[in-house]
Amino acid sequence: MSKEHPFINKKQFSFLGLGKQDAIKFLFGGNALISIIALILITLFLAKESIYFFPDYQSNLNIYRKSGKEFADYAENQLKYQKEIKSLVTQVKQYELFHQAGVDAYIPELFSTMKTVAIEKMTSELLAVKIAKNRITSKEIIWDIWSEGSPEEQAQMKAQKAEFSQNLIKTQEALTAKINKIAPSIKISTLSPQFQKKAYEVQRQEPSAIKTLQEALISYFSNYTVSTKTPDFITQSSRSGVEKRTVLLQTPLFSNLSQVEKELTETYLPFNAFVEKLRDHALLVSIRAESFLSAADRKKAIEEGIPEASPEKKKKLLIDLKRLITEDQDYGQQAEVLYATLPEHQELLSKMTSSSHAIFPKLPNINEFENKGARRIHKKLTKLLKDYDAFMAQQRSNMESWRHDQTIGFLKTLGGFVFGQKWISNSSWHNFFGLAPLFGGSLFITLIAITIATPFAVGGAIYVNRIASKAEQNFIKPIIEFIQAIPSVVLAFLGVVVVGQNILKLSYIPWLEWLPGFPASGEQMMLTAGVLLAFMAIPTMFTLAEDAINNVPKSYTEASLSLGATRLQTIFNVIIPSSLSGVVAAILLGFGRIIGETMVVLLVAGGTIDWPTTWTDPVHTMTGIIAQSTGEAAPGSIQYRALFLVGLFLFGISLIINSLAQNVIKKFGSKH
Amino acid sequence: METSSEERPIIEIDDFSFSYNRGETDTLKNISVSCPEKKVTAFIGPSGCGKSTLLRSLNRINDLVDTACITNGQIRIMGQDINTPEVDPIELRKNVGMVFQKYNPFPKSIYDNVAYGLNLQGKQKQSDLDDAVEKSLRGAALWDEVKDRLKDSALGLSGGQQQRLCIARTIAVNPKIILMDEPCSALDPIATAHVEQLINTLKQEYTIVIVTHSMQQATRISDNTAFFYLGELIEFSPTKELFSNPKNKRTEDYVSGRFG
Repeated sequence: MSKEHPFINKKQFSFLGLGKQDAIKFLFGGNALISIIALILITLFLAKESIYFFPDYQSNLNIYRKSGKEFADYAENQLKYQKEIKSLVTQVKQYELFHQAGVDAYIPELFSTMKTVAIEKMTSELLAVKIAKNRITSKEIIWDIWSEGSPEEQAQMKAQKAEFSQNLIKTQEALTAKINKIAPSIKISTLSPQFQKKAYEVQRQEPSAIKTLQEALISYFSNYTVSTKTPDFITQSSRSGVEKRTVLLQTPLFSNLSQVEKELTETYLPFNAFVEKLRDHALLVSIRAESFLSAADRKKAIEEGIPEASPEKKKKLLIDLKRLITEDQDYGQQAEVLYATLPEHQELLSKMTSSSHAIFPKLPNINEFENKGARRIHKKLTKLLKDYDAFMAQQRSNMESWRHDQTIGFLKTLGGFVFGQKWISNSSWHNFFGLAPLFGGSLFITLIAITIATPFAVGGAIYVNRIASKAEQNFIKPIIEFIQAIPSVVLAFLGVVVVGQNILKLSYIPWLEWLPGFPASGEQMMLTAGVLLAFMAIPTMFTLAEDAINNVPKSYTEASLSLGATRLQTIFNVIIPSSLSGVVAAILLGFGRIIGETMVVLLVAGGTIDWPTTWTDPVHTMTGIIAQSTGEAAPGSIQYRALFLVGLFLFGISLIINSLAQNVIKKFGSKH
Repeated sequence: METSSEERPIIEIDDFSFSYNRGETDTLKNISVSCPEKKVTAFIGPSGCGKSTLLRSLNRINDLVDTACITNGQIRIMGQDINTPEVDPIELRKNVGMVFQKYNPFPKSIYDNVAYGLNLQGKQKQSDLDDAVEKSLRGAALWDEVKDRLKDSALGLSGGQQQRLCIARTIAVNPKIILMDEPCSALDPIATAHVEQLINTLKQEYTIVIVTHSMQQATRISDNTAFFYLGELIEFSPTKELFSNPKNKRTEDYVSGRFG
């Protein structure tokens, strides 16, 4: 027997002809493969669900045109423009009126709101007062009757009276103590949201107003058992507020504005009726068109069902089949009705515009307004007036060139989705699915967040890696990385309660008014969402940037210092340029992280579907709309598919950003 | 304070002790060495004997280590104790340049590497800068090799060229002293020869302190040699004397290759 060579493996593990090494290789390879397959499946699934959106949306847009809704909307746009002008005039008037009437106009309302808050906080004390009072009132008659009784009884009564009133005094003392304690805590931020805006406005005009009101509360409740009369200055300001407004409305400025307001309303009344007529007609045609479309599907379904159905069911189905609208209406005939309205429209329109042109010059000049808000709206108004003729003519020419039988092609459908300014579902008029406002919301929130997060994350990374001592490093790094552990919904709470509130408060500070978009209209806005998302992105960006900076060899620092550079010069001239690719990648990945974030934007971004104009506007986002409406969209419906398409779009953006970041690292990353 | 250079060595290390861990153990123990001006002083000794630490104390680059501290003695450069609070380490380092073991040009162009130190001192005239860069590169015997590609990345040069670029970068800021921490340990023999040649030329203008592992190198280029062992200075004398006639037994063992 020959001795085996020591290199020969005596016992080979083997399964289905595969050795141990092969098994390990397949195990790990399989894991990688599953991830890849999952990614492909997700992409395919998203694409499959969303690709059907386009034919659906195309037919949706075609119905919009064929039925004449588009035609009616051109006229509706004119009407809206006219109404908008009127509403701006009203707003200008209101802003200026409240400004000129001064804080008096708000004081009574504010006082009663603050009083309500106080009462809620002092329920037990107030109850005690009430009981004490009731005890006295219930005994008063008896005391009256017995006042002529025997001296003994009289003394008894007297003692009881004294005890009861002593009791009342005690409750009053408790109440006084309580109100003194809580009055300072009744601040603007504790009021209900709808009053806060007014309260800030008051504080802006009269900084000491809130303090005065708190004092008024104290004096009101300190005297509660004796009298519950509203403090004099409150009733006075209420009276003087009304008086002032009445007087103001008589002044040329306001009487002029009221006149313009009234006349403008009159200009569009006949036009309004005409538009209603058009809309009714178009709506009817579109409803018929839609039921015809769904009839085709339903017919097919019934016909497929008939062979398998029981005899009774079959009968029913056949009746159903007969009821279906199987013949399409004559759109040409329906459109004729609309074409025929063109002369009437021309007449009504020219009447409306000519009378408007007679009114516009009566509008007061912007210099006559003192209030900043009023001036801002006046500017908007001036712009609308400038474009008035052009807009009306444009809509008119759209109506003239409108043809019901020009079908909408695929490219226009795509354009209608990508650049569409409206996202309306479950509308009684017409549903639109335009991505632009959602994309704008997502993009601007992300840009705000990145702008805020970058200096913090990169600065923090530089500090921790290059300046901080070991102890500081061990303290700061885990804390920043811990932020990542905060659930986003919890952060969103914080956003609603703290961040939004404080930004709103900030926006009412007088010396910050020059900033665009200030004062804000509510606590839910792009800026709030941006600040929160910045906070969420900081750990990701910080960690990646710190890695990148850590990769810069220490010898660069030593070389730079040896050449007589300061620490700061070393950071800016050597460390940042050397780690720039990594830092850029960190920013990009932060971008990817933020644009996909859902919970925060859903809760704090405001939810208004409109292209944002300034950073304090409320917006809706791509992620937000998916989270919000997936539940309500019926599977297979056009809205459902639109949501999937938004998801695909989002997926695409993330994919591009991630691969961009990887490329940046690969291309410029490993130079040293 | 001012004394002429002939009378007084430019670097005076006086009973100097140094610790990396807040004084618990001393890495350097009571070292006294003085380096005369425009001469090459070599520090030799086995790894971990503290020669690099001493070198790095000379331009206070050890300040980067938080726990480092001086436990005894002082270092005077040009007559000034460099560890007093009124000394600005930035100004000190402008006068005491350093070349490192592993060549470390910045990931910038050749030109920007040399101009780096000058640009730190504020805006320079372009023509002045060009002159200074050329002068420094010529000084480092690199000009002819790179003059046509000054705008190329420094990282594209060969190892020896990169190390000479680092020397050019150092002499561009016009220091009095150049510290070299094993400048040739990452280079091949030919590149080493280039650098050694360069050191011989440079000593006409600069005072050079060099840490080296190669005793041949020390004999070739240095005027004085200090031998360190376990944080202590064992022997400090003119190079020829130290190698041919060592006074100390340990020195003799080391230079004859019996240990280390």
